[in-house]
Amino acid sequence: MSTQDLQPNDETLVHRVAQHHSVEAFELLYDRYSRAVYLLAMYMINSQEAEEMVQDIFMLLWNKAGQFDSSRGSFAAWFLTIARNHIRAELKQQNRHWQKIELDAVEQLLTNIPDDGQPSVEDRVGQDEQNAQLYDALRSLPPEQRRALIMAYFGGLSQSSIASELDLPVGTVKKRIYLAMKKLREFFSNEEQPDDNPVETEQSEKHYDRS
Amino acid sequence: MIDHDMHQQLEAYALGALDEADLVEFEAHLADCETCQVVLAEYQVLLAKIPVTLAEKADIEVPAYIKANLLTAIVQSNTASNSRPFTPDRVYSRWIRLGFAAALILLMGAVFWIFRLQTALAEEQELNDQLTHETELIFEVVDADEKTRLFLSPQTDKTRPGEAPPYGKVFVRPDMPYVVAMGGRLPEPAEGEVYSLWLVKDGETVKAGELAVNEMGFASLIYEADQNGLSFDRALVIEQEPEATTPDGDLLLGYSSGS
Repeated sequence: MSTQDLQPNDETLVHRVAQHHSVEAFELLYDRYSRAVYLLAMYMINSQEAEEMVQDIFMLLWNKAGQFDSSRGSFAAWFLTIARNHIRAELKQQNRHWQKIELDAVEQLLTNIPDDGQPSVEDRVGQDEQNAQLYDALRSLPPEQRRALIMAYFGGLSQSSIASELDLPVGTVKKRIYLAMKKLREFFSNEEQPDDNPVETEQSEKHYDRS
Repeated sequence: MIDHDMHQQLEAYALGALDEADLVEFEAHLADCETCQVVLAEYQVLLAKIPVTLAEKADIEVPAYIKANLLTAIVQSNTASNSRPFTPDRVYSRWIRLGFAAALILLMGAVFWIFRLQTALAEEQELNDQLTHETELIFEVVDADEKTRLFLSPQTDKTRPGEAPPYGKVFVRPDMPYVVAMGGRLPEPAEGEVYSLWLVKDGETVKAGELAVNEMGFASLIYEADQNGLSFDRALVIEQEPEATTPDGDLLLGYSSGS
């Protein structure tokens, strides 16, 4: 049993924050998610403003923990959606545009680390296996699809804005985003259920199929 | 738009990349499409993992003062709420109980010590009430939906050792007279000097107060103006002697409505 197994899960912790205003539970959630929120803020805005954004977002968690409904999804999905929406709202309020430099940093993070195919034991120990799979999936995306995904996710750009920035038809951007997201989901599904999802062919990417 | 096309909007919707024109139509579709709702939930889990995943790979560290500031703020807000139930997590509970035990022993000792203790407790209570009141005011202004927020940008190269430049924000609510200022990563002021916040409106200046920097480089102040929703052209954080009556000194942070 790992140390993580001995810790309460996120949903238990957020419940304790909401019901008992538990500082201890809040601190555990902070320890688990502060780096992710900090990274999100760094890449969506910039490193200088990321610090105060982290404070704002965790104060939101403290004040809005009671709004979390576990029947509608995981805590991570709820909280990081709140974090991303908060940062996007900040950018919109300040009428600021996307930061190309910060988006380049995301690209570098995904492309500069050598892919030796064999992560070290140290890399894997304590690292969520699904996160490692997602990282591999992001790296395996064709560069043009990954770029569109990053511009939407971290840049907060709409499809037409991405098309304008890249000087491409909107239809091309739509297709890239669709394919990128679908591939990530398929990669995830394949890793989770290797027996249920045989590798899909290129043909299957061309037609919507939720089955 | 036929269903097939509508389904293909789901990925962009999950990313928040749908254009306004498509958004309303897709949300109407989503409300009735259970398949899209299920897949959307999967996408939300997947997208939430992106920053978590990248944070494991990135060489970043969240500055320690952020956690310290947050915990200080929420412990104060916990203390402020008397209606909340007792929980073992309340970090001060042990100290409060010990304080009561100590007070009981002293009470049994001598009238003199009782008097001393009561005086000390009264002073502590007064200080606590003041801090609680200030914290509540700050939250009321900062968390308000309708508020003006101005950014104070660094005006010098002075920083805390090994840290990024300082920053600051000033918050004003249209329905309250309070101006809340906060600063982060503030370097220690020179000996004998403090950071003062000055507000400038139509050439007139007013000293809003002193930003007392804690060990983490954080400071806040509340200024009560003589009107609600105070507006100003400039806000300046100046390093100067505490008794200074004019905004002269080294400019650390500044905001100007024209910039």
